[in-house]
Amino acid sequence: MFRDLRRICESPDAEDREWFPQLAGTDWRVTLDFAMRNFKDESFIAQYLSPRLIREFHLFAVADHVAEDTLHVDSIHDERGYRKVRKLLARQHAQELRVPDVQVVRYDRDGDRSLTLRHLRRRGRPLTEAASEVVLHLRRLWGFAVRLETWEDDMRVGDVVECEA
Amino acid sequence: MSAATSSRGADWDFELLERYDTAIAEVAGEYGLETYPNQIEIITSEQMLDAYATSGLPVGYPHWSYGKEFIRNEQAYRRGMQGLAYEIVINSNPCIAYLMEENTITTQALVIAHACYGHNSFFKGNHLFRQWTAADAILDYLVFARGYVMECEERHGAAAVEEVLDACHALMPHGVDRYRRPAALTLQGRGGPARPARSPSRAAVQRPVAHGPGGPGGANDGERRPSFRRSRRRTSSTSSRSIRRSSSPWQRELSAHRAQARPVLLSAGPDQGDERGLGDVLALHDRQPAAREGAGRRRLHARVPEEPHQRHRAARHSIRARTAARIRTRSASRCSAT
Repeated sequence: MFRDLRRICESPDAEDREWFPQLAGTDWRVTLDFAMRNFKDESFIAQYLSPRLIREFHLFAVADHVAEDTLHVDSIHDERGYRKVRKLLARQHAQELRVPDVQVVRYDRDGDRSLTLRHLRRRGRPLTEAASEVVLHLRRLWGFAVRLETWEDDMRVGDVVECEA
Repeated sequence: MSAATSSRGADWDFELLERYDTAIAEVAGEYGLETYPNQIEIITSEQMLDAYATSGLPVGYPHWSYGKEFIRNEQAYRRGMQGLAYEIVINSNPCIAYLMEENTITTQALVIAHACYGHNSFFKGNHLFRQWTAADAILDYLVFARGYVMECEERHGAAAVEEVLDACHALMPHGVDRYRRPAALTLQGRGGPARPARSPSRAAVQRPVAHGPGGPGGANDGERRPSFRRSRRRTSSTSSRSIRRSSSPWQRELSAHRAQARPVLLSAGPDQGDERGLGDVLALHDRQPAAREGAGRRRLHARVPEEPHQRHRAARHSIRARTAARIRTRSASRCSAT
């Protein structure tokens, strides 16, 4: 990608001018330095992956949804497809999507001091059985009761791991 | 390049490495890369396995999981199920890079360029590293953390410490708060911040539940303590920080430290599908006691040698002594193996 960036700076074609008007024809060292300093993996991809590179790497997207019986090719090499592929690839590199979204939502300060965590389920993915072990560890550190609830779109899914004080 | 600086065949020696390093540094300078000074060390495959287990950290507190990880990697390696990285580089100042002994000179040149100048310049320049990691303090901090853990073991018993560390390791993937948003201004808040933020970049990140009532800064933080009952936007992740309200101060201390005791590990291993797999950028502890304060408080266990690699296997020290090369070393690192 960095090499492609340099190419865009040094010898841009019409497509590059359309997709990266702010880069085409600029000093590649300045551009690469800026890219190095100001992005992380996913934002770098989202910002700089070019259609040409998507073609060179033969990147396309296949949608595999639980609710559907068949796979279908979701994004190909067209205007919409390039943007979608770039977005999907960037998301694959986002570190925060690799760990379940678990957040502390309530601390019963004036009561039994119990701690409530909410697991916001993404794409229907459940926690593994290890969840209860992890809650136990958290209980040890916290010192009082800990409760982990799994939610999906503001609806409690029903999986609740609880560990008494 | 004159005849004296060129290599013959695949073999390398330290003199040759130094020449390559000098040449590569020159090229890196031409491209305007800003880097920390490099500390390049040559390690054996066993030492590489060791480094895998500790995420490349040169110093670490004792915990059974490191041994387990070592054995797992070692067995996979011996059975040919897993190759080893050509190098590991850690985000410290000086930037420590461990290169594999068995690399050819070509590979060494490649990984020096890749790790010691490529990764290094990212460590120094990228905004995430700049905001959330402290390359200058991490080595001192590790020494402090090791001393502190062992002091706790003496005072409270190894079992109690292990229990806390187990919990911290289990929660480690949640050590970064990725969800917090700045809290809404309170009535007092509208008048301006009660005290200046530590740095502009961190000003956007408010710290809820800083400490228990008796903990450091507890009373002062009163006005910044958020309510946990409002909306989801103000929730806090299960970061190690937010669970510092645990029962005793030393347990709080340990759990708070775990989150930042891991540097970023990047390797150029050919068989590591995702190079960043292990390397999240971790948030630093709010109070950042780290280096200076820490080094003074450090009290090493009487029975344990100061050098990290001596602890479990005395033999390793001698292997290391023979092979460790320090090219352009900054003087004061306590963590370098010599």
